[in-house]
Amino acid sequence: MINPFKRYRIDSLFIICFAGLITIVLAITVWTSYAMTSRELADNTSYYQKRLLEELNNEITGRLTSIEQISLTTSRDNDLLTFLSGKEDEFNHYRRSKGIQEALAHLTYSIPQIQAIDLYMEQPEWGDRQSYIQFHELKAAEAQPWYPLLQNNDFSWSEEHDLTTYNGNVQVLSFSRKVYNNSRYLGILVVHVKADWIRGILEGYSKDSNRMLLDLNGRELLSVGTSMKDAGLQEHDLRFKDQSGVLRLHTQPHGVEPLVVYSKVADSNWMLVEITPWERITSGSVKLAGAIITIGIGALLLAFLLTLWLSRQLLKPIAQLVRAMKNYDVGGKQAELAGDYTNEFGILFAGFRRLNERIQALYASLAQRYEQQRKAEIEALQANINPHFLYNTLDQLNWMAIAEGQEKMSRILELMGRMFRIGLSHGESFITIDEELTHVACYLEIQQIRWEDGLEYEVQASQEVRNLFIPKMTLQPFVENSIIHGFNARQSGRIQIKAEEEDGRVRMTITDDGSGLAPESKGSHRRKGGYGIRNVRERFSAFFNENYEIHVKDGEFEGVVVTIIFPRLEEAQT
Amino acid sequence: MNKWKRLQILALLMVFSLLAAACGGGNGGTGTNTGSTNSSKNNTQAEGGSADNVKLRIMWWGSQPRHEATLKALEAYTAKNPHVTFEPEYSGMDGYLDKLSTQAAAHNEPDIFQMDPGWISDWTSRNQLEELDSKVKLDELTPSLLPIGQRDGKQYGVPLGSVAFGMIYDKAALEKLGATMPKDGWTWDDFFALAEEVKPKLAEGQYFTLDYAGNYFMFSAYHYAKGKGTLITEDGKFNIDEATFLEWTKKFEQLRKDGLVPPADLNASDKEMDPTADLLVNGKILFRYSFSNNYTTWDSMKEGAYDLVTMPRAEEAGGWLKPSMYFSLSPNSKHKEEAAKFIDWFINDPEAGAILGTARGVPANAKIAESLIPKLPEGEKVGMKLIDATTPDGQIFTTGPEGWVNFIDKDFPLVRDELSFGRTTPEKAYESLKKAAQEYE
Repeated sequence: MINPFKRYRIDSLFIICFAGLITIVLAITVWTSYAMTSRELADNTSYYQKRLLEELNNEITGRLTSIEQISLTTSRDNDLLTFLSGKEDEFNHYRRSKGIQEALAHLTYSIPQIQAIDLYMEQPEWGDRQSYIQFHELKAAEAQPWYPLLQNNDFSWSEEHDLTTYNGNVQVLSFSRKVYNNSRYLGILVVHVKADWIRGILEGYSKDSNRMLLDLNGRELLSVGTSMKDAGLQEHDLRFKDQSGVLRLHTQPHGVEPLVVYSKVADSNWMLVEITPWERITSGSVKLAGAIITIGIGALLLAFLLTLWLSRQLLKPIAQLVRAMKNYDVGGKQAELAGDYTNEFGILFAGFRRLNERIQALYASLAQRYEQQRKAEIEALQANINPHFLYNTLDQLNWMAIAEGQEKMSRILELMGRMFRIGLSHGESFITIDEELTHVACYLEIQQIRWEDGLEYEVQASQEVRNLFIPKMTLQPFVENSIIHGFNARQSGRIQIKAEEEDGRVRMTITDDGSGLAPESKGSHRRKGGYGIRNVRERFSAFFNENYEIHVKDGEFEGVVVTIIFPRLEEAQT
Repeated sequence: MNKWKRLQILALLMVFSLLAAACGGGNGGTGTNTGSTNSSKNNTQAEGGSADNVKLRIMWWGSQPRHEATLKALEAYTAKNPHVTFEPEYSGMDGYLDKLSTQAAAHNEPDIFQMDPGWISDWTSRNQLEELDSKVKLDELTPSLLPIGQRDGKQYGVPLGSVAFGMIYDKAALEKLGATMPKDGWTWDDFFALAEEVKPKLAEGQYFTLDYAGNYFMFSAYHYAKGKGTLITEDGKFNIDEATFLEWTKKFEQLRKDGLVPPADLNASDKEMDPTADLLVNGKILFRYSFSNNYTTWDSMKEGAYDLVTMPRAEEAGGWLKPSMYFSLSPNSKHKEEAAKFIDWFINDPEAGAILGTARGVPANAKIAESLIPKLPEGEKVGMKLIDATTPDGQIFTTGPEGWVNFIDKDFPLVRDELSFGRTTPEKAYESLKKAAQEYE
């Protein structure tokens, strides 16, 4: 796998790292805060709802009880009992009906929560359609929604239902009570209580809540907001045990199922149930999470800007460097690097600058070298031309010497031709020791011809040594030196040249019996050697670095001994 | 580089605005709230009223057409003033005063309620009405209607209209019987003669008129016609002429014997203007008393069957013109200003006038009445005719002295029922009335 830090742009890496970190922290914070606060809120909500429902329960119990008491008092009223018994003459019956109507009407006037009062009786007469008080036939009761509940009870509360009145339909809860006089069944007194009133109590100050009023059997009388059936709660739900409690409605996925709080109070015949949608409970948490997310996005943006700024600040010098490197032009105008960096970038810049200078210098020397090489090549080319001219001229000279009968001259010219040929040897730098010895032998023969005896030389070299290689024209300068300086002003001389192998190296020894090295005061010409010897030294230095030795010493008794030691070479070096 | 800097600044601004939004997130609700209250304030400023939404409770009595007309007027007012809504309470006349009194005793009466002219003096004496001069424009109202709504020169009730007291009769049934048609300006003698005339022609279960023997208003009309003045004097004295009372009650005793008025139980079941319990509507009786503005209600139950005629006269006219009813404002109202503004609109605005018509009599606002009368539908013209016929020599309406309401509402009805059920004689009835009156004198 590729290390992303080696692959992608630094600013992107910066941004991704920061953004990633913030996002992860943000996500954890949001989730934790949501989970914790929503649980806390649900606990709080259910706790306070329970308290509130208990309060409401007490209040509703009080109110409904007072309605029951009014109904009881009214049903025990002597006038009413006399009226219902119907054992009066017509005039009194009529007057009493007026009186009852008035008395009951006063109840509705003074207790506005009572919408209307119905009286079911044997002989309902002189009713008023427009009145709040209505007299009905006892038989008509059977069609009323509250009637079935009264079958096994002397009194009961109905569920919420519509009551048709003079002013249109009104939602009411009805409390019906059978009226007896000395165990004689006389009729039914029905007090209709405005459902809106109880709903108002149930709702309290919390609008859009879902609350319902149930009797102890779990029958729903009235609801605010969602009714029990709509909420998916069963009547007679078995979970409504004990006094009060909390449960979750299993109608929706676990995460969002509504919270159900119910309350029963010891002396009450009622149970209150409140259903709160889960999203309402957690709306605070959601808001908090939203705020955190918003802040987080702000932080992300800030981080984005910061990293962008940071990476720009950090990358600016690198970009400068990259640009400088991209546009690098040898010998051309160099891009300026900011000079005020003293940190790592400063070091980098300084390094780059130094490197540049080095390259410039190297380049300059390379250019110079190239120039020299070019010149050398031209020289070599020129030198290539010269030999042919020289051979031809030598050849002609030879023929001229033969024609003149100059045999010595002819021989010299022949030897010279040989020497040149070896000396040039097609421009090779290395030749075999054999060839080198031939070359020096030619030279010595020429000198013998010039000297006419008196000069002797000896070459000692095994065949193995002769096959090894040596830089050409190594021996000639030393031999020449011996002849010109060592045998100066003498008639005879002897030169011994020896080549041998020694410890994987080649030792060449040139021994003469000349005058030896001149004292120092007389100049150091012979000691240092002339141009030829200096040339040999320089070439050896170039070919073998330090791996050679050239010693020029006075011999033990006379003359000079030159020792040249260099690596054994089986092949020509290029 | 410039571009980059600008981008930076822009991004920074964005970040800060985002942060600000996040911090303000919790206050989002209040933000919108202030927005909405601002806008509602602007609305009401444009209308020149107070800022909050107002729900006014208003209560009146009447018949179905009056309820409908009034509800329509309320709707129109809400449409024009969306911040004002109404909680109307309306019913028939029975029990209305009881209910209103009970509520007033609990200081829980509606903001605006309809008052009978007869109640205003009692209510003002107990400081149960709010003074209205400064709140409602009264310039255009017919001046003669104002004094009854006043006390010590201040207006406590705003008159809504005026009506004439006369009779309604079943024209179609009379024609069918071939009986003489009553004419405006007829006399009580004509009335009883007509009863005699139709007696043989009446079908089983059909009667001439209701048992008015103990009816306060009908006897008042008779008393007036006989030139005996009001039943109670302005200074609070019992003023029923014994001879006139006996004459009246004995005539009805005769009608009862002749089967020209319904038997007591049927008579007691009568509910004026109730489509099922009104004996005139049921075709059981031919005549009953009526105010001019109620014609349309009966007409709506049996179109074209009825007509109005003046209250029979004798030496003097029997009928009278009276202010129909008043609107009063509760001193316990929490929205007096808005309520008064509504009352002002109700009586002075031509649109309200057009919607209400003559549901409460000829509008008290003279200008509106003037513009309305030529355009009245046929039904309402009948009522106007009665007013015109009553106007020339009609009795002068008085509300009677203070404190006699129970005499009219409780004692008189008892005598009425006793007479109807035959539990008493005219003489005894007079005695018990006279005795009862002593409590009020």
